[in-house]
Amino acid sequence: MTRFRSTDALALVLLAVGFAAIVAAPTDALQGLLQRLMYAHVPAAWLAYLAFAVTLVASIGWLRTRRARWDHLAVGAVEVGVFFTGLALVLGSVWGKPVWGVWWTWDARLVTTALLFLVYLGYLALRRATEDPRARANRAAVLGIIAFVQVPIVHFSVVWWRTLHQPATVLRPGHPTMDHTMLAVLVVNVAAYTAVFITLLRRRIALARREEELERGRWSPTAPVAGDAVEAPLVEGEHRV
Amino acid sequence: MSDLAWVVLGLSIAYLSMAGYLLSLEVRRRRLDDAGGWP
Repeated sequence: MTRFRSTDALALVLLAVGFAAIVAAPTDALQGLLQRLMYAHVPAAWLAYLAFAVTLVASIGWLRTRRARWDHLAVGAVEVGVFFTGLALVLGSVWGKPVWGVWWTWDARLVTTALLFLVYLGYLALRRATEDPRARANRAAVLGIIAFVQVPIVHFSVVWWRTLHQPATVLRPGHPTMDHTMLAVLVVNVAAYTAVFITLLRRRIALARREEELERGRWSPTAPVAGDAVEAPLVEGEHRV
Repeated sequence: MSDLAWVVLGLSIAYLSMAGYLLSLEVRRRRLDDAGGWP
């Protein structure tokens, strides 16, 4: 088992404190208990932003230095970012059904977030489609940089377009528009999710490093991509060129 | 469904999915170790 570190213990403690804060938080005057879902939905969305920002930096790092650690960081951050994006979408949907009356609506924030999710899933698919480790890291790095354009689009979608999704209450110019106690509960949960993010990312990077070690002994540029079994069909009597 | 049930559902999804993803990373690492002949 991967060594249990102090960051893992911190994540557990912060999650417990975050949960207690959610239970103790004041009830929203309009949404009632349902507003408590925001203490999980908002951190998940912010951590997705952070993950893709880490991917951007790591992708630039790879293209500049060609050091494998940057590529490991990039793929780790994308996978964890896709997880948090998916979680934000699902939690938004669980909140939307009782509050908006629908699981999904074609709102600019929802659509841009879904596209963000799909593009970074595409990043992971691209990596699986490329056998040469160096070419894979190069292609993934280019996509990792280009795909980050979506993050500000998602964040400002509630400003640029008329949306059903509420505008930013914390990550905005000026003071947050939230009640201070509610803001404190949100901050505690953001800290907890950030600790979970670090725990997940550390393990995913270790996995990427291990994958590379195994691959190094296996891969060569002249080896068949998936063995002889997938060669194209050949008409009887003809010879393969 | 009551508001409390929606909150319990949402928070359960959040905590269980994080635990599930963490577990999946551990399983993937063990499989790699087995494939590579590591102890």
